[in-house]
Amino acid sequence: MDQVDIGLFDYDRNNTLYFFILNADEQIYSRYGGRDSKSPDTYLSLASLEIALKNGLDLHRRSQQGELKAPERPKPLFPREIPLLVERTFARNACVECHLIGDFQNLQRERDGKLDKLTHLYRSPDIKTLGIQLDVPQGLVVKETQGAAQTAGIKPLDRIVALNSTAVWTFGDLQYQYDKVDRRAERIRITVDRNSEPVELTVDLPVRWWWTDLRFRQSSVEPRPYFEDRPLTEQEKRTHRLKPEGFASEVKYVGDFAKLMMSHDLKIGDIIFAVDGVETDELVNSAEMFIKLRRSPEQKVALSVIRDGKRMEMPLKTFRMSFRK
Amino acid sequence: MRKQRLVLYALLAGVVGTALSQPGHRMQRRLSAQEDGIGWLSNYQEAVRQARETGKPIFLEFRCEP
Repeated sequence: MDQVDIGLFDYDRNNTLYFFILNADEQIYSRYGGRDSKSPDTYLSLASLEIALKNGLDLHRRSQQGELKAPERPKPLFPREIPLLVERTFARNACVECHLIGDFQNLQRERDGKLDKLTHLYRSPDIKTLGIQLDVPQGLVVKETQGAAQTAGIKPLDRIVALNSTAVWTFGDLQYQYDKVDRRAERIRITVDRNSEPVELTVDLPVRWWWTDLRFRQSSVEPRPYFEDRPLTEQEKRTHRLKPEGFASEVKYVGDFAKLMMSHDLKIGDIIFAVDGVETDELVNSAEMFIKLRRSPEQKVALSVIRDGKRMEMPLKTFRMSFRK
Repeated sequence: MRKQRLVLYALLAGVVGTALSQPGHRMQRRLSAQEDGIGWLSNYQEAVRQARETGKPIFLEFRCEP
C-alpha cells in the first residue's frame, strides 16, 4: 500500500474486498464492493459483478470516444503522509494493511482534534435505513421499498442511476456517494430509471440515517463500553417517570470484558437514563450510542441507573480496542 | 488476523470478452482468469503502463489476504 494514492482510491477500509474500474489516466469509472454491518458480502454476487464489468467496459468506450467527462481528481494522499501510520508501521517494517490505514487515519484525526465521528467512524451508511432493498444480483434494481424510500415514490423494479446527480453504476458507487452525504443533510435526491425514463425523487432522510453497527470494525477510536442496550419505549419512559425526549435505555447484554476489566457493574435489565447527568441528546436514542458518540476511549463516565426500581449512580470506564498493528 | 494486499488486473476487456462468448455455466469459466492465462499484476505502475499501451481499462482489487 506504500505507493498507493489513498486519496484517489478512497473507500471504507473495513471492506474485505473492493474493486475499482479505471483507465490509464487514473480516471475511476466505477467501484465494485460495499457492505453492511452484518456481512462483508451482502451486496456482492457474481451476477452483479458481471453487470459492473460490462458497465465498466461501456464507460471505457465512452471515455475513449470523448463522451465521458473526467471528474476532478481528489487531492492526493499517500500512507507516508499519516504520521501515526509511519510511526507504527513503516518505522517497524510492519505490513501497511488496509484496515490499519483507516484506523490510523482516525487515530491521527483524534490526536489532531479533527475527528468527526459521524463521518469518520460511521462510514458506509446502509441504504436499508432508507427502506431500500436491492435485488442484489441485478445490481441497482430495487426489489422492494419501505419507509422513506416508499414515501418518496421509489418503486420495485426501479433501477437507481444517480444520487444527488452523481451517476452510480454499482452498489459500491451508490454506497460511496451515500457516504459522502453531509451527516446534517435532511434529504437526498435519488434518480431512478423507470421504464427507460429517468425519474428524480427526493428522499427525506430519517433520523440517524447514518447509523450503523460499528462492532465488526477494528477501530481504536470508538470507545468500548462493553454493554449493549435498547431504547425504552415512550410508555416505559412514562412508567419510570423519565423524560420522553431522553435517551433512556435498557441493558440487554453485558460483555465478559466488563467484569474482567472492571469497566462497570451493569446488569441485564438495568435502565440507564443519564450519562454524566445528561439525559437528552438530539442525535442519540440510547446510552450506549451517547457514550460512543460523545465520549472517548479510556474515559470515566457516571451513569444514572434504575435497578429494581431504585435509582443509583454507577461509574463506567470506556476502553480502547487493541488489535494487532 | 487478516492481511491485506493490493492486487491489480489490467486485462478487463479480455476477461469479459471471453466470458460472454461461452454458453451455459458461464460465470465460473468467465471468472477463472488464471485458467484463461490472464495474470493479476501486483505492481500498480506496471498495470497503468500496460493499460496505456493496450488501451484497455484496469480492474483494480483491494482485498484481504488469508
